[in-house]
Amino acid sequence: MNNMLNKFLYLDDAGPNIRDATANGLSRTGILDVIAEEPMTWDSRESLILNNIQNIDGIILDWRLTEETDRAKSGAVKYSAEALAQHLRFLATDKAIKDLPIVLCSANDGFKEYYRKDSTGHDLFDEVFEKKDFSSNHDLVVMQLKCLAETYKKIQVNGKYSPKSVLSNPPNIDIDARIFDRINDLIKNMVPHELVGFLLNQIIKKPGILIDEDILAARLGIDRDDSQEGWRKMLDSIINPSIKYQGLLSEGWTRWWAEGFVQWWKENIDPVHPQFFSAKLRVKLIGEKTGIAGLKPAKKMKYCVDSEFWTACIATKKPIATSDGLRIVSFNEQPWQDEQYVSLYAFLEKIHSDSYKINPMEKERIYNLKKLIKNG
Amino acid sequence: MEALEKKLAELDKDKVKFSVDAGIIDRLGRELMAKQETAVSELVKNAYDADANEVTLQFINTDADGGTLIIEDDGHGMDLDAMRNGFMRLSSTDKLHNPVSPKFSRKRAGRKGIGRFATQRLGKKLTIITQIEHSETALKVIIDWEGYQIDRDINLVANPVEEIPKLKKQGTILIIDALRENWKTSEIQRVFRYVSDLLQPSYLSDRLKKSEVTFGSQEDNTFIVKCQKNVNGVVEVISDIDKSFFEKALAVFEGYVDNSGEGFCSVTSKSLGIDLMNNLISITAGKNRDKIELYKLIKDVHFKAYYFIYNRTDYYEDQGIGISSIELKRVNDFAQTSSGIRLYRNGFRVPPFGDVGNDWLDIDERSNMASHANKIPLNNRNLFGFVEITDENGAFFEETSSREGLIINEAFGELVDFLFKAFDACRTRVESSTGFVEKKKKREKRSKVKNDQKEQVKGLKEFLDSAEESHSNSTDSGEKGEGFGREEAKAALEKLVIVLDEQIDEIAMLRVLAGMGLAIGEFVHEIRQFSPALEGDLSVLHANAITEEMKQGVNRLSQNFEQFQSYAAYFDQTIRNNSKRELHPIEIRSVVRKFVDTIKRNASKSNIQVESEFVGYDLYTCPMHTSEWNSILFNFYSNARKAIIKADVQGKIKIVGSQDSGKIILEFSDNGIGIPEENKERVFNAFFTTSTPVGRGASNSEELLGSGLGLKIVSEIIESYDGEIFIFKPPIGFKTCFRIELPKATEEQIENEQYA
Repeated sequence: MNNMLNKFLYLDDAGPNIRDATANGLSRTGILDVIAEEPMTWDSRESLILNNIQNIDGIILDWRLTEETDRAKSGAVKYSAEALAQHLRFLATDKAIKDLPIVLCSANDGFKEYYRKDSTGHDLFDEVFEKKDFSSNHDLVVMQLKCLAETYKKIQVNGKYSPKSVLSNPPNIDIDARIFDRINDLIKNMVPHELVGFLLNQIIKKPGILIDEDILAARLGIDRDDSQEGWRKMLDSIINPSIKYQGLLSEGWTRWWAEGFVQWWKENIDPVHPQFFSAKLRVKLIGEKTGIAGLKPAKKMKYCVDSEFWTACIATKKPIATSDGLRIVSFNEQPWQDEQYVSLYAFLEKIHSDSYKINPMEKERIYNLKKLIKNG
Repeated sequence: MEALEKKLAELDKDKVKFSVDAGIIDRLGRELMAKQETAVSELVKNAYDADANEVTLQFINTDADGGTLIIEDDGHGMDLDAMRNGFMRLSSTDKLHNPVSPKFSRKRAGRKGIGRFATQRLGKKLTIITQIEHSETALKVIIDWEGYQIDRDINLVANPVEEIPKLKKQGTILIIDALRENWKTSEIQRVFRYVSDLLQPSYLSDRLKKSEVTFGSQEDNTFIVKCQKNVNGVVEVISDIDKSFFEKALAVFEGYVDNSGEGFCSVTSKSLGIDLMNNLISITAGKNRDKIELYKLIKDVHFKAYYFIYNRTDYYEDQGIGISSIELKRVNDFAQTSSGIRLYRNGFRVPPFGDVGNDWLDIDERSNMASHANKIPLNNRNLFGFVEITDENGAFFEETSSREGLIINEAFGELVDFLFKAFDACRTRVESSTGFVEKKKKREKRSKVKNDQKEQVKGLKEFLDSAEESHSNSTDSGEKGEGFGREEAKAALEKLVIVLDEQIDEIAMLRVLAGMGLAIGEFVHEIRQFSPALEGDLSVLHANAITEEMKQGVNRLSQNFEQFQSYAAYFDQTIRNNSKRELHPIEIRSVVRKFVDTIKRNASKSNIQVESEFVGYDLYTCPMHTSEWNSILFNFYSNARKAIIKADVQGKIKIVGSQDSGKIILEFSDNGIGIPEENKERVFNAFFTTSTPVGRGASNSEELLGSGLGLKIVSEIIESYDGEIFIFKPPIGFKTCFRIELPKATEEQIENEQYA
């Protein structure tokens, strides 16, 4: 909607060469204009941000502001990224300054995992990145930063929103009344970062009313890696226009309406709910009804019994049936969110085992499953 | 009647009315309550909202589907009107109109109109028996949810109400039959935990219970949930988690002001060896500690507080009442929301005293003062406490009109004064207890391992020399025979000196290596900071590379940099893990996999194939440091690589993890030059090396890499966990195989590692 460059202020205590090169990397595709600066003392930093706030569309903070440069080490920087973010959020909530996206990044590997476990600062930052994503996942990161900046602007320019205009849900999709209630509360006293935080953390990033590409593929029963060309066609021509999420933040986070998918299935493929079909049958029906060739059904992971896939294993991202999945613990769960699962295979093989904890209620089941494996 | 009305409405051709399909009930139940435990907790909340003091959950034969759940409370119950307009009316607005409960003014906990769907979610049939205090009879309704099927009008499904004799004074009994899902013990426990958030603590101190003071039994705003599992008549009580963790407290502080105004407090702690005998400390109302003055205004005040020190499991270790670090962590987590000293007046909680963040006794403020810097931690976070005051006439304490808090008057001042002094006295008591002092010393000793062997050897040498001197003196004087065994003693001592000397060298080398490790740690972290910058520039270069040659160069640069980064990341991770002192059971496939990923490129550059294989699951070792595994695997790898380069073959490394009778086994094989028989025992000795001696001009690091300490370090790590390391028969096609056997983690340790 807005072709002007989005300006991000990037604060990092690393030396100027490192800082600038990182910023240049982010700016290179001409979508963002990232300006790197050192943190400085609280007073100078605060007044610089407040005086220039009209000229910036977002802030990227390095996680540890006080470790690298001599100046930072000497104690001139006495605050954390969290403190700065908290201060700006407070002023924005008070409507004393405009609200803008604040994201956190770090060069530490596994930082996201680490950060996920510390819940204190969760509502301060819109998103958290590992710096390696700046290059290895450049396009997505830039798209999400741009989307955040523009969403904040849009919200503050337009002002008037309804839950419906926030989510842009198609008329045939029912939304849990509690989501509407919550969004209604949030837009009544519109604080952009609270609305964005709710949408990202409770609606977009947790499967439930919206699903991501992994889960969409699982519900279609399609093996994405095996049917690349067909999968593209599937996304572009069939699924996209009718059930893709088009609401706020959809430019940065691609999601589909879970219920929309079921309706699409019932209208276009078969009146019976897709979960009743095995992946093979789903793909066969899709091929027949849509004429898309080259779609391959997803295969069962090791130790899985059912191929009525409905979700994706949190560790391998491969399709599994909920009956085969082991429930994991999720924080801050809302009633409209789906349970998340890990496959027994990934659990036993310790694939990405740092990234989740198993729900203790699965103990007995795992115990029995292990016995089965041993006997079989 | 309603059916008739409905038929009439259908005949009324001029108007249209909404009608509701009975299937909506089924749909609502399933969609509003995704999880069965949420459903149960909603029902418990309903009992709370009905001013119940006690609610009992009975899970009968629920190990398989189709069991029965009975939820019984002693709340106010429902009459026919309440049932019709509340329970049976969809989306009743009662909770919107009456946000607090009538008797105890509880803030309504249940969500709007969800309870009935909860029962539908849980089982196929519901029986409600409910009675109110002022009625002669009880009401009984049976609802068969199967009746609510799609394509039936909701108004046509009727549920007969019966009047039956009362079963209890008041309250509601929900009998949910034909449960849709099974309930295992772990799930029941989870529900129990889920609802315990609601519980108001009902810790009436034993002393007050026995005393004359009454709290007005029915006025008592307590709420207790009891939970039973009943399998074919065998009843198992699902335990009260709160109690059990308080029992593990490091110390319990208790105190009171008696009827005459005299104040006392005491500390009990099995862990620190403080018992109640002779342990009563007097608290004076006045300023002079040596003169006992009575409190004038407060009487019959009682407090009890459970005291925890976090991150110090070793303080708790005596007399079999130890606490695991996991348990302690759980208490610590719980403390985030529930610690502090809460005030109860006539049995009612008086907010905000003792809420998290409310420091009404200045406990936190005091402990932050500099003079307390070296004392034991005593913050609100360390305490779970309850202060009870009785004041039936409201003479001493006036409540503020908002019912939140007490007006600060003189009596309140006395109360704060008493508690302030009592907690201070308890703190001093703990600090001065011999148990605590000993444990502190033990800690300090443990952390201060002195490397004073050099001194000892020096002393020993001096002793040897002087012994020899006196020995030769005595020989001179011609008294032979007395020297029996002296030669042997001397030989033994000399041998000892040699061994000690070797150990000193070894320790010196280890110190150098440790220092180097720290320096590397520092640098690796610095290097990591360059990554995003280099990648930023690389990506700019990549986008702007014009010629094919440039593109190739940039690609190569990227690839090499990627490898460089994976090294840096691995070491950074290792060093970060190292700074965590806690040990964890380690699944060897996860450490091996990460290791193989890191060295893959380096290995393929040396033309070495690395494969790994695992037999069986749950290959958890006893708790160890992840970084120890990195040392083990890196040492094996660098030895193997050297052996392969020397053998000049197409290199192969195979890592196999397995388990056998309580041991976790790792075998590391290579097809290098192998180890000659005579060296097989010596490879684990310090300074044994097959590396060619470094040349004169060699750098320090070269010298260190061939130091011959690698396998020694590995074997020390393994042995410190009661494990074994030895050279094993290599698989076909391999020359050398190192085998490690380590104790397997216990089931409990594995569970703690895997579940939240």
